[in-house]
Amino acid sequence: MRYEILIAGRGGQGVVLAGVIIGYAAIISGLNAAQSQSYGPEARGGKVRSEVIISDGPVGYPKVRRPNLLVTLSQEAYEAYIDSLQEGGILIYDEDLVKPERAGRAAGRYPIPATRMAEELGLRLSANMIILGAITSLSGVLRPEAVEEAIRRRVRRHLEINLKAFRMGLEYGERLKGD
Amino acid sequence: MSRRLDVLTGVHFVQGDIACAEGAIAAGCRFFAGYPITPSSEIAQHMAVRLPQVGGIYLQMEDEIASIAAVIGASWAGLKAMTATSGPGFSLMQENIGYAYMTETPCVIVDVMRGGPSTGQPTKPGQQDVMQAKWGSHGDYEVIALSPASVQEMFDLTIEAFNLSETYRCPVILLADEVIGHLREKLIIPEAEEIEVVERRRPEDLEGYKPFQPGEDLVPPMARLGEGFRLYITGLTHDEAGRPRASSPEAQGRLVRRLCDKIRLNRHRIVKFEEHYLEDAEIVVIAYGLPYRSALPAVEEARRRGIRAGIYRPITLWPQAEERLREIGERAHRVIVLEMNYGQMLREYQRWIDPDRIVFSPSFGEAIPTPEGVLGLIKRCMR
Repeated sequence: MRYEILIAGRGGQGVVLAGVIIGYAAIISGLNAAQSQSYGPEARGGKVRSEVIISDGPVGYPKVRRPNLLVTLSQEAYEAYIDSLQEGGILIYDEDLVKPERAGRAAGRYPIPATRMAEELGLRLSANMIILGAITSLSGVLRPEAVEEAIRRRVRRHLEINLKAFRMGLEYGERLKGD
Repeated sequence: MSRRLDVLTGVHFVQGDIACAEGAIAAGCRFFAGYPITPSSEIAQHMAVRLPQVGGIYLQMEDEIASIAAVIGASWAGLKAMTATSGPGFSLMQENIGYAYMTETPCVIVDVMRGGPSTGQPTKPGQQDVMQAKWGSHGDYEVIALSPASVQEMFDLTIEAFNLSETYRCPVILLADEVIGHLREKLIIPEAEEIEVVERRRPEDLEGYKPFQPGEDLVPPMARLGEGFRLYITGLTHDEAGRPRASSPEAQGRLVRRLCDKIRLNRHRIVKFEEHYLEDAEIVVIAYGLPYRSALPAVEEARRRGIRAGIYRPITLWPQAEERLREIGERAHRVIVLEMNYGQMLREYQRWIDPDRIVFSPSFGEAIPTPEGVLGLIKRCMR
């Protein structure tokens, strides 16, 4: 099994941390994972992507080529990566930030107003945790308990709000799956 | 589980840079002086947090010249010492790296390579310093440089680097790249007792000690400053007592030969490599560091398709297993060399392998080789 996840957006959206937590959750689950990120020299606002590969064997090539699951949190990221999605892959996007003109090869398209939901929670920065919940639900490769454990170990500030955001994302993902 | 603060036994999910710092501490490193630079900054950052926890010293220096100078001083004061940098900082360090070779000062220099020349591409990977690692400082000397290809190896090979450095009394260079430095993967830190740690050989008694008088392995035992030994340490050519011999051709010949020979004659003990599917390989891929991670899946896929492909990966970039590479070159129809530069180690391989059989595939910046790309190269060589 080799499952590739690509999360792309802008600096400051928590894109990197979301990838780190997925990778850590995989390690907690006894799987292997490789996570990397790519960004320019800017601290905020620049293009950012976080890549995670989850594997039950050794991870050879450590970069994502054809993601099974793609998350886009900016229009720019959507345009840049939609065509890399694997046939039958999953697309998750923030519906307030991305207008998906074409679905690419996606079998499932899942809009989620993550940033708006996070703002309603009172912590805009927890949008990445909502996305993380949706990824956990829609990919089905990790148990929610393992991801929660990874959040507990990796997130220090506002842990309770972040966990709440994660669970909201999880439920939202389940509802989207049902539709 | 071990409760030791210096060896964090257990399973971790960390960046290569962090694994490197933890490897250093597990190997006994207690001094770090550095000037942060992408993509190596996490090493300095982590050392700043971790060294005080284990009774070590972290110094933030004003630049890389001062960093390597402080590391050399700390090593003579008896500590295992390290610095970490990237291309531009590695360039600045070169003169003092030569001083460390000349004064036979054990230390570890980590270069997490990015794109160059000059400032180049700070956040993108490269393997553009592999020749600088060998020839960066002036004069004749032989170096030891290691090339990690995973987060686990950032830990393991940093320990190896310290052990080699202590064994041969010379700087050892860890040549990583941005992707491996920033990649997060599973890191397993074993129990402290399972980690082999080498300490420099020390003189037995004060009487008659000469700091540059070698043992049978051509390596002199090393005293610590302040222990009562008379130490004369200079970058000038010196005799076995350390006294300058700036005009004597005999002294120059004796010292330079020994500085080189202690590595050359121990090469079989130092060299590390791994190889797969070479028994009947018609096409051999040579790749080190990150490109090895692209090449191995490609070679495995080629095998599944009935192509007799194999792979050779140098782990020590300096020195390398010349004899083995000559053998490989004689048997293979084609040798594909992958590097994240425009042809550096290639020149070494051209000395050992018929250049007409070599296919060179450079890559630049973020456009690292992919398994599909390497498989394509292998297939083209079959035609």
